[in-house]
Amino acid sequence: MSEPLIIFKIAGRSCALMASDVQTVIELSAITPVPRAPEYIVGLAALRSQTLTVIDTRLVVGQAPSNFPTDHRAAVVQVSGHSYAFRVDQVCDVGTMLSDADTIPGGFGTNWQAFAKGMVETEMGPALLLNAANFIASCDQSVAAA
Amino acid sequence: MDDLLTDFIAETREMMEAIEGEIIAWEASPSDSSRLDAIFRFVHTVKGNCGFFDLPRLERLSHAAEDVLSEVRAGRREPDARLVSTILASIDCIGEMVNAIEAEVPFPRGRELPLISALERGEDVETEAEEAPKSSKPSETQPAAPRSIRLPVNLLDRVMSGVSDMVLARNDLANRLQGAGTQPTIDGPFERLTSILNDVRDAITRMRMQPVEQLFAPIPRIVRDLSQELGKQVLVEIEGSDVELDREVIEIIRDPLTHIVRNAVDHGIESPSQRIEAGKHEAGLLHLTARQTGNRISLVISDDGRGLDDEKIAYKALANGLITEEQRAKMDSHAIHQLIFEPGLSTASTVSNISGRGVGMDVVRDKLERVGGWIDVSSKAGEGTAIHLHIPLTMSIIAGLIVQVAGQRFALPQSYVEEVAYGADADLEPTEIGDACLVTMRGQRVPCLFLADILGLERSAKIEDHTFLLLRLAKGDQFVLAFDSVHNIGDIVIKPLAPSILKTDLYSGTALLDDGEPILLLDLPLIAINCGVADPKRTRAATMLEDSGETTQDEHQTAMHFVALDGSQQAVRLELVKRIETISTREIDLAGTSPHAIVDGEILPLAGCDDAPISGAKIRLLRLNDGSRELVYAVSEVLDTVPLTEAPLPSKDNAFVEGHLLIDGQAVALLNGAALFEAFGSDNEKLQPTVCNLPDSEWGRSILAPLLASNGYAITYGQGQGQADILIAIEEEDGEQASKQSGDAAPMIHLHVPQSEEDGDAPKHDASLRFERSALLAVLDNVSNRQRAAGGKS
Repeated sequence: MSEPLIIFKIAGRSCALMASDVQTVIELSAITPVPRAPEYIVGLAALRSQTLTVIDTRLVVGQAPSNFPTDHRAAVVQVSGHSYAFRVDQVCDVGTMLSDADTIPGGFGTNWQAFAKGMVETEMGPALLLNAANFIASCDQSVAAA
Repeated sequence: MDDLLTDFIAETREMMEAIEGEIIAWEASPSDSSRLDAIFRFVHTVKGNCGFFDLPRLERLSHAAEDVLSEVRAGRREPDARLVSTILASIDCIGEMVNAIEAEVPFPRGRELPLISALERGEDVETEAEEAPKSSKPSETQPAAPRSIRLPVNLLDRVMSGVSDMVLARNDLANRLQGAGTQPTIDGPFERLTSILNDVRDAITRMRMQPVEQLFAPIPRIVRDLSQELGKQVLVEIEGSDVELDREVIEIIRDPLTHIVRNAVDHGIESPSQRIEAGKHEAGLLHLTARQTGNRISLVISDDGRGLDDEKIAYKALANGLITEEQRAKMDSHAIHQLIFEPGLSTASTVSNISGRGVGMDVVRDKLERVGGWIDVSSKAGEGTAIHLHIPLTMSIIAGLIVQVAGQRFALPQSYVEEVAYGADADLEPTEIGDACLVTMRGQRVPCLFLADILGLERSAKIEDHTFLLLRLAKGDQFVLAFDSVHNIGDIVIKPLAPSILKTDLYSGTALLDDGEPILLLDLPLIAINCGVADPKRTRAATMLEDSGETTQDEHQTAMHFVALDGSQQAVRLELVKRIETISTREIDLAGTSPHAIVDGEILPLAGCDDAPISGAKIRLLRLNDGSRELVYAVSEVLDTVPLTEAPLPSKDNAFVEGHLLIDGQAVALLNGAALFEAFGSDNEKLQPTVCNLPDSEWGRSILAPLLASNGYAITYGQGQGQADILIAIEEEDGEQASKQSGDAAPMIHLHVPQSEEDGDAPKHDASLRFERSALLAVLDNVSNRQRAAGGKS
């Protein structure tokens, strides 16, 4: 409880990551596309000497990015040694966790269930707390299924 | 002088590391005099240098060791285990002294004396040998390595990313400066900043990498000490020491590796009598290999010992409650073997002080898993055990070629590139067969892949606009890759890719360009396999061959068949052809007696255009290289490569023609490479500084060479004597050999490394002197002036 969170919007929905999981929030500028990579991989971006794999989170949850303008900011997370930048609609703010992560009756939907830790209350209203590692894993699975 | 001392220290350490293995090998076969020679050379060199630097104590010790070794060499003394131990202890002591010299602290008084007396009084070795290991102890905890400090990795990372940021800031500044026009007061310092920054970046990048050699170097010694203690005989074989690893990873796997090696010697390899009983050679074999395969490095430690005992392991695991009877019944022997990595399982019936130190294989596995690696074991009862460590490649540096296609840049390893050609070149003859494409390069039709097609990008409309790269995979599979243009060439730092990108089977890594743009490294072998231009099995086998450092050689020699400028058909041995170059005719200078051409910013002598006029805007050149000299040979057309199955018919009318070949019913002149290089290759040497030929010894390389080079002499070693202006020989080391050569035109200087009795040698050569810096330089100066004057007159 009362742990800091990074709150952002994916396809219009409020989502959050534990601040301790997020390395930094960056402004995405030049992105090198990766030909023949799965669609949700926007490309590669550089953060100092680090290379980031940029993932469009909207595609991962099954939404069309074109419906949601982005402010080009992205949250950088590290999963098993690789750094990823999550492209979102917008990064809103840093908030605190006002409640424990909780499930809601009926679940969060098939697109979200795999990486949802649960719903948390924040100063900015309820948000879905995500598990970054599961998020990456579910990206790869969605490709395998397709 | 200080620099020289530093060099001496570094050199001594380097040599010590190098001979460590030799000593053990020598002990294993005392009659192998080539091993002994290397050790002898080491102490001899140290002794020689000591005289130079005024280090009397070190000199006495090395002198004593040298005396003993020379007696052994002369067959007056038998090398036994005690003698070897004493020599080893002496060499350790030399290492400690060198450390003390470097740290500028006094070496403990009299530490070396027992060793010297042990060496001098041969029969007394026994009592002193017990003393010897004691003095060798401290050096075990602190192996002779170049000076180093430990740094937290995150600090290093911070510095690295800081430098990367600096490069980006510099690039930004460069853009702004460019916009502001030329400003001499700012541009100069800015240029300097740029070059400094490049140096720093290069150094930082290399800071993290280290050859695996560092990891393997102490192993032979560990095995030697251990096997002696256990009364076993073990031979160590090491392969692939030049693979580079992240330092952090090296540190992490250092202890596990030592542990595995100790285990193998202690438990794996049997005693000599057991081995003979089992029908094996009495000496066991321990084999260490490092290989880089794709995204990871594999280390394999294998022995030919007794192998793992399934029953024993299973019994232990059952007793410790690791597995149940039921599970046991289902396990095959491979699964049982993997149990050795479980905590709380030690199969040694008695805990020895060698490997049963509480550090089990479980710790080894944990350590590896922490860096993202894994471990497994394969074993066959009675035949041996192999432990495989798989380590992910966190980073590596390769020479890369950066190419552009559809506006995007990609990198590929330069090592695959054989030749570059441009689409406008008529010889390429791109032909489309169905959807496939073939081009002709080096006289062969080679399948051509369009990078744009592979990547699903837009292909340039015209074939002439493409650049073609002839690529050769490890086992000779050739194909051509076509793309828009070559961007540049340089060292690139490769970092691993996220798994989801690796799955595309197109890329093997990513790198950052100077301007901060990330680019992808193409996985050429995989692309070739997926496009069907390489046979998967062959490539894999070839990768292994390549990794283990073996090369396969063609039985047949081949020659390149071409049309010379004068229209005649000629051929040249293919091993001389380094590359085919196409340059603008403007870069050819026919004026003066020796024509030359500018290729890649180098001025090379030009042959093959004596009588024929040069026309057109571009000219095609064969770049020939005989290992030391280079020249270019002008041709009008390259035809084919032909096998030299029969000896050419000798020819006498033209010195440049070795003989004639019969190709397709036509007589083709085979060029005489040696004569060509003689006539053309040597010409530009006149402008060069006086060349001194030095003996190819460590002493020559690291003491003499820097001294001479800093005084403006060029250096060659060993064989290249024909080209040298002055020969320098070191008396005693290779005095005899060198005197035979003194019939050569080049004058010879004989050096005496400070030596005890033999100094009275008469100066029967051009010059002979004790090695003393100033005297040597004076004599050299003198001789080279005489030499020049003589050359001017003739």
